[in-house]
Amino acid sequence: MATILATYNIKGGVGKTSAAVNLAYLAAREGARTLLWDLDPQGASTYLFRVRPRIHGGSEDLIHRRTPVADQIKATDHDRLDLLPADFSLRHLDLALDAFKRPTRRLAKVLEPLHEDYDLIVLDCPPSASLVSESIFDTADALLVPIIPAMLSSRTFDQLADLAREGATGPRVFAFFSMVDVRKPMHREVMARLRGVHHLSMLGAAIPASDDVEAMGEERDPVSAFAPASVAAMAYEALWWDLRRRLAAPVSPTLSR
Amino acid sequence: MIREYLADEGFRLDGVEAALDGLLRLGPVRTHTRELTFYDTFDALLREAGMTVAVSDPDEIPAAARELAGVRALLPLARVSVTTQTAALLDELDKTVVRLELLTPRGLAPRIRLEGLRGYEDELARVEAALGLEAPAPECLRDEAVRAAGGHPRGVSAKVTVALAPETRADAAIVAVLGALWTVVEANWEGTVDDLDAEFLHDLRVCVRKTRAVLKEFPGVLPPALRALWRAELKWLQLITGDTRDLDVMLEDFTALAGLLDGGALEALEPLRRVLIQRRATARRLMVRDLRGERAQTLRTGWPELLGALERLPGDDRPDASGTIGALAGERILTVHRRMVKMGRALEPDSPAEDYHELRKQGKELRYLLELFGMPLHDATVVKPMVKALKELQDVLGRHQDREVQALTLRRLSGAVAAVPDGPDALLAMGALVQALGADERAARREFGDVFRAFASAEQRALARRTFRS
Repeated sequence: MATILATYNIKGGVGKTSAAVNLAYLAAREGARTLLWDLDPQGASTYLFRVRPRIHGGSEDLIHRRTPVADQIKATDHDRLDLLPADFSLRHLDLALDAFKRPTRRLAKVLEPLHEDYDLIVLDCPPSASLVSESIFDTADALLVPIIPAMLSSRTFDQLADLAREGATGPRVFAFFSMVDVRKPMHREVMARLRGVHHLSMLGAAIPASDDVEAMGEERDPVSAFAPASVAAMAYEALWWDLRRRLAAPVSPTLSR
Repeated sequence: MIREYLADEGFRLDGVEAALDGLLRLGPVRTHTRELTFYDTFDALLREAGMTVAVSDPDEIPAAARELAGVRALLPLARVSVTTQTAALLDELDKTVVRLELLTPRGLAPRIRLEGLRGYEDELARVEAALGLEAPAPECLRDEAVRAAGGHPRGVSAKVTVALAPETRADAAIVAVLGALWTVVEANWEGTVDDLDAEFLHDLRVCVRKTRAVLKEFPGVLPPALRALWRAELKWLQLITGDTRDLDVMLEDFTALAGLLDGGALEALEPLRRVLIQRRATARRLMVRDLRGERAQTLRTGWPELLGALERLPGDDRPDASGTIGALAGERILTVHRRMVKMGRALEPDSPAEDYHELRKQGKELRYLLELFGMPLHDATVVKPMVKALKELQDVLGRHQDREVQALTLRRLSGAVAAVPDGPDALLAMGALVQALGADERAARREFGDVFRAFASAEQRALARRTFRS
């Protein structure tokens, strides 16, 4: 049975795709059969793995299961790491989901046939608070929320944690600091304060604002693959190590959900 | 999905891009040469499970391979120096869609290996078409290397199967079966002498036992004097290997035997294990001396010679030789089946252990006849359930006999165990073990009634008559 991990934030440009791509790569490198589903119509993960952003029959056929999901999967250039690519039609996913009686269970249904094929499924989610988000909460075992250390972002995390708490069986929520610039006093202050408040669901590793992460667009590969000795790659390794350890630990109902 | 093809002479990776005519681009080519050793068990357990192990260092053998091998040793079957050129075939997005390898093993045929990536099956098909790759390599590199090294790619198993036609002359069919059995005996001979693992001796003995069963149950196929001579020689071969095998079984089952007692028995029985290891070493020395001796060498040359000449011998003292194997084997199977039913019915809960043992020996003979002749000559869907019913009976009889022999062995070893350090403590555990073995032997006797009734039921007997009566 695969573990489903979603990188999520209501805001865009906070490092969701970079985290999804690098963590999926690291999991596969460690031996886990891993699938990354690019749910963002912009298709950034798909682009990074050099795959055409196209689903046969579009996302509507996929979620109606008229197109077998297994037939749409593409291997990446890395062993054990596969991709379910994005498609521009994903921009209408909210509408398509709304047509179902239990719309928030639909993404889980689509993934059902893949549970024996993979150990880990990573969902790279679009930035929004919508029916798609709720579907992701109903599908994922854990949400991973990148937070830029700024006031607005911490409010974002509070909103998200509230949302996840609404469902009794909602996913565990973990957050990490992303695009961190330790030279900025504001970043240091917010990190210290948030770690104090959310210390058990905040992961220890922080991903720096880094040229290497930005270079992923040029290299079209995870930073952990093309610059494994870089600070950013090591930060992702630390993040994966911490997250994997916590995913393996028993759920603490009061603190982690 | 990996496909392998034999490469034409002169095939070069740098010519691939031209052959693909703009379809895909060839990525950078990496070249490395490794001295590879192919490992597998003698009976090719890894191959059977679809696993190939080719490594430069035995430490690189994966744990999964060792687990699959179980009690069998992983043997270096072939060594090959392989130069591998690897490149990715890239689409217009610079995405790898097919991985390409050219393997050049020294002294063997070069090969092209294509790995199609998931979701890029069309690209793989186009590459195959563009490179003119149609028929896959008839055998994989491992098999070719093992064959070139003089080995058996599919391994050697004691489960001998010879295709037979019912109308074949009986002596020709029996020569074919005995020849196949002797091939396995010979193949396991050196591994037994070198003690590569305990299964070499086991497989050797199984095939000798099957040979003896065939000689016993087909008396009219060999001239009586020659039959008596070779039966005696094969009995001798079984005898000189018996002690080592019994001790192998004791050592293999040691943990399970200790499990018959309460916790801590394994530790208490350690002096017994040391004595068993010593005894086995002695038994092996004697066995190896005999296996290397003149009598064994005469057996190894004389027996195959007789098999080669048997069909040309006069037929006047071999009344069954010219009959058909279908009729003869069917009649023999029915005879042994009837004999077993009669013997089993005569058994009482308090019959001597020897009587149960005799029935088990008959059961082994029947099983060999069913496997060697019943399955190839008759409808396998009918014979298989018969073998299954027989196997269930044999399992109970085998347990009964094993417990009897194990208890006897323990009693015989008590003096030797008492003489080693911690021996007196071990004797207490051995006493408890003898009791536990006795209880399990009695349990096997109680189970015997039900499994024998299933084996000897009216339906089974009628089925045997319908199947084997000519």
